[in-house]
Amino acid sequence: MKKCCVIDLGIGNVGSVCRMVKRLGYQPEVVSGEPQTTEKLLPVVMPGVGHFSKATQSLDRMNLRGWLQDCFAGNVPILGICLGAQLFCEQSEEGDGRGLGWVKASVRRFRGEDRSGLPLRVPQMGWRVFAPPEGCLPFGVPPGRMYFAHSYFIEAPENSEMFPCQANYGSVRFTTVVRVGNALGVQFHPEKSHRHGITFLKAWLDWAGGLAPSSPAVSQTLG
Amino acid sequence: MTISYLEQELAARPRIIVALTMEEGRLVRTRQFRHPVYVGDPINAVKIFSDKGADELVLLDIGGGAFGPEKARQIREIASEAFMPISYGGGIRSIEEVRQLFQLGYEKVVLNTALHEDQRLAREVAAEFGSQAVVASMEVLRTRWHGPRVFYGSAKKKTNHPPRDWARRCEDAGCGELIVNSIDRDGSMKGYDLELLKEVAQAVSIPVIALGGAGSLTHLRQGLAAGASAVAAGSIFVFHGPRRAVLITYPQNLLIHEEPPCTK
Repeated sequence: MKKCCVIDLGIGNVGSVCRMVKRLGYQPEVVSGEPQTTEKLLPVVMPGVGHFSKATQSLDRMNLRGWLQDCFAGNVPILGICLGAQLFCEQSEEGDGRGLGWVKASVRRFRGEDRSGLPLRVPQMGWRVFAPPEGCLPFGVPPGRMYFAHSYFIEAPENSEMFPCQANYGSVRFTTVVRVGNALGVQFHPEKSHRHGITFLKAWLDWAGGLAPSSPAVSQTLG
Repeated sequence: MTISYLEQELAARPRIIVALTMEEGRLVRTRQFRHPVYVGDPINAVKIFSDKGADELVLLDIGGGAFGPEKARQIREIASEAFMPISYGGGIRSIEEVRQLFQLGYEKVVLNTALHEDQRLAREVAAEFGSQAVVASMEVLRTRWHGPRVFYGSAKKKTNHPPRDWARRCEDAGCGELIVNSIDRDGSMKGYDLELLKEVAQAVSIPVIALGGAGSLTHLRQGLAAGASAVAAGSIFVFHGPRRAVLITYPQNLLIHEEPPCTK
């Protein structure tokens, strides 16, 4: 059975992600401490429900930063979900924890107005149609509705290719997809988005599983 | 490679939430929080709602018992049938129980009595998991002499808090959503307490979820128009016809979503 790493920062909804991964025919390998030996180049999922700075503390406590950095540098496919995607950034308004810094962006709290000019209700909770534009994802998925639940969002710099899909919540523009190297972050929760989410995760796993081990750096670190 | 930005102007759809009440491991429906009627097995019901693509599910244990290992086993099985957001409420008193729920696959906890006893738990959960993971549930009864008042403990315990004040306190305690559950309307299928919803929605800046009284899609629309960010219901999704035969349904055409709420 093919395997997939699922990172457990001790604050996430690891259960639902593992269940979904299993359903798609992959064996989830839960990483809840610094991996000692890791089979080469397993796809990595960083699920996320939680507090940014609590999560960065877990990264430090579990000694995961170096390992993740090696994965990232070695082009291991990484999927960040919600907070997992926000961790790709440098910092967040949610505490003073240091993110992984893979993208030069900050995570901010929603502040703005809705269509009627009233203050935005935070957190944003609900479903949106996600229709990835051409080239947004390294694999194809049909448009489908996805579940969002977040108070903080990735603020994208103008016209950067690392933020290929965005949406508006009231007057605030927020990133729905962040992509850097083989790391892909999504603000929505595919593990909670019915068949659309299953389709998305399956497409990602198929794509990730099909990538050949490419970097000697990673093989050395992990091998 | 050029990547074009996509304007996704579609507003987040208002959610239609299925609220299920459980007592001693069985699914029940109540009227004014009394007279529980057995309607089925929760695991099976959740599976059907998941298959029907329900937006979200709230599972409330009204039995009043503590959150023990037997309950944990059952709600683990329930979560394993849900490929949608699912929250759990009932008897939660400690951060350990909350952690366990998240491990089991729930992503929100619903707090009610705990908020009345000690608001530190809500703060703790919000600090660890984010406020989107904490839902406050507020039971409201229109009392004869004092107007609407907040109750808890399945409508058994009365407080002197007017709903608006209590709603603000829940928000201050770190709750990210607020279920406004009308005791008067519970199980009546006569429509939400719209005045109550309007009042509470204006008082807080977190999403407000209407619960108690919905009997038709029109009622759901009215709840949104009154200022609720999402609408929840139980009876409408499990009863069919005037004799209240048990039949699990969920609006499939989602027509309700295409009509923007005519707000404010």
